[in-house]
Amino acid sequence: MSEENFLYWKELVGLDRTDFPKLAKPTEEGAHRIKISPSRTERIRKKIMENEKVAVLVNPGWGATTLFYWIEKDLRPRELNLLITFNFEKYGFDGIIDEEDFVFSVKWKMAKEIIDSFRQGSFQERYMYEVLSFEETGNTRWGKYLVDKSRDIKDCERKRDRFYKEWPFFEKYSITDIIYYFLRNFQLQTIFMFLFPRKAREDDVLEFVGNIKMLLDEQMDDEQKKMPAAFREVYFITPWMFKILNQDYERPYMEERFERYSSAELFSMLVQTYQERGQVVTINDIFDELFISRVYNTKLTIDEIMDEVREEIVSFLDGDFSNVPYRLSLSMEDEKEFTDDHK
Amino acid sequence: MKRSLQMITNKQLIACREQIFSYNDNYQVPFYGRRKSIAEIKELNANLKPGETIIISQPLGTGKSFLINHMISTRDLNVPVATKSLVPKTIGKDKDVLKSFPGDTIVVDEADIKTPAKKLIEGIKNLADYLDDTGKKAIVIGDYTLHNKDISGALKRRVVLNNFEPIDSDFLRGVLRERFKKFLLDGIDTNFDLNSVIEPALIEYLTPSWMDYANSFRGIFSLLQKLVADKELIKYNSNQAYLTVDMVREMLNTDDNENYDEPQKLFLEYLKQYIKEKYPKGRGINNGFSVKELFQLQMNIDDKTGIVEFEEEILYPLAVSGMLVSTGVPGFSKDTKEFIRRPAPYFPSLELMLLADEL
Repeated sequence: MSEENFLYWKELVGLDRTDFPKLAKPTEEGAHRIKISPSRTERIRKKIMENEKVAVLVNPGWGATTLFYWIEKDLRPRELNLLITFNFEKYGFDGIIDEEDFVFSVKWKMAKEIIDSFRQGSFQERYMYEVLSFEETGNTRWGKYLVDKSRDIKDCERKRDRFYKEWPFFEKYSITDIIYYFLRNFQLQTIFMFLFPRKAREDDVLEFVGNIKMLLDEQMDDEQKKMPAAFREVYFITPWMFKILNQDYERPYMEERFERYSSAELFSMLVQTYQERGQVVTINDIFDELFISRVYNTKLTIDEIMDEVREEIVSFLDGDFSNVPYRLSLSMEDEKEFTDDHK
Repeated sequence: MKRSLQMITNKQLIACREQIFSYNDNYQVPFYGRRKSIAEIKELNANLKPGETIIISQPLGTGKSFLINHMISTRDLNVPVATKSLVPKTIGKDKDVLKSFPGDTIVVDEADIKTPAKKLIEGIKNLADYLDDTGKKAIVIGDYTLHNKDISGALKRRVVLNNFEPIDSDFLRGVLRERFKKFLLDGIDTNFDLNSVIEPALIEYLTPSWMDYANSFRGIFSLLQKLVADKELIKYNSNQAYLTVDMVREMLNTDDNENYDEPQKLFLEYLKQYIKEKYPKGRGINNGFSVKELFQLQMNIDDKTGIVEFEEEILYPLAVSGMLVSTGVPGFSKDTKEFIRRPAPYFPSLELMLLADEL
C-alpha cells in the first residue's frame, strides 16, 4: 500500500516521471547542474596551483565522477591552461597501457585542445603556425585552415598514422617538449586530469604509472626541470586505489582528501536535481530535509543513502491514501511518533 | 671565535621540503655514504667476465638506482656519464634497444614488482640472450624479485652484491646533513646541528635497528615530507623549525583509517597492541612476522576467517597500504603468469610502530 501511496504522492507533486529521490547521475555536459560548494572546490584548485602532482581522494560512491567533471569545467578557460583529461572510470585502462598508444592518446588530446585554444585566444602567429604546420601560400587563409584542422583532428582520434602524418609537430616532439613549447610560447600550463576507477588490476595501475613516469619525469631535461609550472598531474581517486598508485613508485603526490558531503549538502543536491522540471514549487517546498538527515550514514554510498531515503518515504506514507499529504514533513510531532514507534 | 649555530626556520623548511626530503630523481641531491657498496661494486665490476651480470637486489626505495647513477657520474663504472638505464619492460618489447646502450656494461633498472611479471621475464630473457650473444656484461637493479628463479632464472651467470649498508641513524643523519647543507645553508660547511631541526628521538624512531634491511629512504622521507606539508603542525612563519616524534604521531592520528574496512581495522588495532606488549619499540622483531604468527592474532579476533581469506583480505591490503612491509621474495603464478606480490615475512612500518608505541 505504501508503495502505491508513494507513487500517488509523486503524481500529486509532479514527480511521477522522475526517479525521485535519486540524485542526478553525473554527465560531462551536466556537470554544473549540481553545484559543489565553492569552498570545497577552491581547496582543490589551490592545491593544483601549488603542486605538480595532486591526488584528490574521494571515498567510493561519494561523487568522484561529478567532482571530476566539475573541476574539469572549472579549469577549462583556455587562455590559461590546456586541460588533458582521462576518464578511466568510464573507459577503463584499455588503449593506454601500451606506451605507444598512450603517447598517441595524450598527443591527440593535446592537439585537440590546442586547436580549440587557438580558435578562442590570441597567441603569437608564428608559433601557432609551427604547431599546425601552416605555411602562407596566398591560397590558404589561416582562419579557414584552423577550421579545417579543427575538423580534421576529430577524424584522427583513432588513426595514429594519419594523425602523425598530418600533424607532424606532434610526431617530431616528445610530450614533455610539447608541454614546454606551449608554456614558453603560449604561456599555457598543461594540466593532466585522471579519473581512476574504483577498482582496477594492480598490474594495470602500475603499468599506467610506469608509463606516466617514463613519459613525463624521465623525458625532462635539466632546463625543463627548472620550470615546475609547465604541467600538473591531478588524480581523482579512491583512498584505496591511491595506496596502490603511490606504494611502489617514487612520485610524491600532494593529497587532498575530499570529505564526504554532509546531509545538508545531499539535500541541496536533491533540490538542484529536480529544480529544472518546470515546477512552480521546489523540492524544498514539498519535502523535508529530515528524511535525509535521519538515514545519513558515512558508511553508506550516496546512492545507498538515497535508497534508504526512499524506504523512509515509503514507510512514512504507510496507511490510507486519503491521508497522503502534499508536503512530506517530519515535523516535531511526526518525529516523536516515529521515534515512539521504533522504540 | 665560535660561530653561532645555524637556525632553520619553518618557512625555510616548508620552502625546501621537497628537495631536502626528496626520494626521487626530480632534484639533484648530494650523494652520501655507501662506501662498502661502492668498493664491492668496483671490485665485482673489475672482475666481471663476458656474459656475467652483477645483481643488486634490495627493497624498493633504498637508493640502489641513486647509487649506480652516482657511480656512473663519478666514472666508477665503465658506462658513459649521463647514460640512462634501460628497463625490462622496454627490453622485453624490443630487444634491439640493447644494441643502442653505449659501452660494454648494460645497466638495467626496475627489475622489480612494478613491472608485470610476464614483461619482466621477457625483458630478462632478452637481456640474457643478448649477453650470451655479444659477451657484454650487465648490472641489474631490482628488488627481492631477482631472487626468484622463475622470474630471473634466465640470467645464469650472476654475481650478487653483498654489501648494501642498512639505513641506520648515522647514515640518515649524514644524508640529511648533506641535504640541509646543500639546500638551506648555501653549501657552506657550517656548524649546523641536525638535532636543532629534528628531535634525536625521531631520528632513532625512523631508523630502528631491527628494521635495518626493510627500511627505506622513501618510507622515511615521504613521512617527513608529509609532516612538513601539514599546515596544522608546521605553520609558515619564522619560528625555529623542529620536527618531533609527537608531531608525527599527531599527524598519523589525524590521518583517518578510512582506507581500511572493519576486519582490517580490527586486526590493525590488535596488531598494535600485540607489538606494544611483545615487541616494545620493535625490539625482538628480528626476522619479521610470518603469516602463521599473524594468523594466530586474527584467530583471537575472529576464528571464522580462514588463512587464505586472511592473507588476501587483510594482510595483502595492509602490505599494499604500507602498514606492513613485505620482505619476502615475490612469487610467480605459472597459471596466471602474474606476480604474487608482497609476501611474508612482514615488518611493521614506521607508521605502525609509532602508533603502537603510543598506546
